[in-house]
Amino acid sequence: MSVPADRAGIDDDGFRVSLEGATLPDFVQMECLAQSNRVFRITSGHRIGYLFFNKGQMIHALSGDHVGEPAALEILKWRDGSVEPCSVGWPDAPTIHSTWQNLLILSAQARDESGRHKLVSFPSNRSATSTATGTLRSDTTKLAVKREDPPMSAPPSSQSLSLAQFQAFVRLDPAGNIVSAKGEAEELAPVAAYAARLAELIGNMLGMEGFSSLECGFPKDRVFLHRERSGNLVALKVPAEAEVGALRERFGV
Amino acid sequence: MQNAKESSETPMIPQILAGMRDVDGVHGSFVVTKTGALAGKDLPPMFDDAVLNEVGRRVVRLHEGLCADGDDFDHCVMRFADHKLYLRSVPNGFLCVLSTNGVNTPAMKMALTLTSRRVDPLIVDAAAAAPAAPVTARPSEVPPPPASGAPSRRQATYRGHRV
Repeated sequence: MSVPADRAGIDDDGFRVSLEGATLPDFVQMECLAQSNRVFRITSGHRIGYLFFNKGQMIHALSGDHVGEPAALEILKWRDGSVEPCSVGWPDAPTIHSTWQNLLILSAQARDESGRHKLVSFPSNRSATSTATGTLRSDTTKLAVKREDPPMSAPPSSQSLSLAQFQAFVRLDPAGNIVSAKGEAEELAPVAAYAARLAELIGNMLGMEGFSSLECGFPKDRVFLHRERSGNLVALKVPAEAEVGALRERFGV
Repeated sequence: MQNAKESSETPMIPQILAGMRDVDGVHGSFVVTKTGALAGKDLPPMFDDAVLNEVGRRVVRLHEGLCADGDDFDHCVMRFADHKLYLRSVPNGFLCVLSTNGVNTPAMKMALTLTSRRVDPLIVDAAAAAPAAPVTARPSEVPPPPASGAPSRRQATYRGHRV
């Protein structure tokens, strides 16, 4: 991959670089860590794409058939070519909202999976898996359909366990105030708030955004946390022997 | 972590962890000690040791928070927008696995069980070989402990090991 300096519209300061053996993920990482605000034209054979960097993030991408994240992922698959800064028009709004770390993870995964033998195959559509392999419970499809019925703001008990089966249930608003509660909520609330905050911090450090749920299994019980779209946090404690398939489907854990 | 790599034992940890990627959707994994120090990893280079040491310390705090009433957890899984992070508690540390949301859960559980069983005996040696990880967290980033007056876990033990 070669990275020549652009001769038009770009400052003359800095080095002209030519790197043999560098990859596009290397380049993206370098630009983002440098908090770059530039556009680059990527050429690989007959293919041309554009990557837009702003304040250390990749905010927009264009390729032959795609715009935004699909374009970025397509470009990041290209294995050889050249990179040069250019001055094409910027988008009105970002089309990529994932972090660059997330994009590189997705790209690495796609590259990894395209080239290795899969010992365990699992399609992304879980209900399709149950049909194809029969490895999941027979009620999986039913649960998947059921999940769409109630809104996310509905109490989780309305579609899975009854309230009587919860050892504890608490819903906290974003400020940590208890909105509703049942059972040993006074003990569960601080644990839930603290655990959810740590999960978010852990996710942020690993480039994983959008914490939504947590399941923790203990010898005698299970704890579920779920961040609702409103920002409220729901926490449930249920006995270890309780059927939690519907809860898992709903919370995605 | 650098010293850990130089010992004769710890290079086995990445080899064992590499087996986790047999499960479709697994990005990689790492192991931290009960104090949160990185003991080994099988992850892309973008995840540097300093970040994973800090993640390790937060994993320990998460464990302490969730286990405040005394019981150790068997497993913990966190779901994010596009990924999951699985934690498996073993006597000497934690096995942490990053995956896509579509990962095959039963296969993941089996892989976690087998991998944690193999990696656990190596964690002590890796931790002994590694120097104390520098604390890089800014105080403002560290969340306060739960205000429930929960008992401290510092003196608790699990299978004969302090946790």
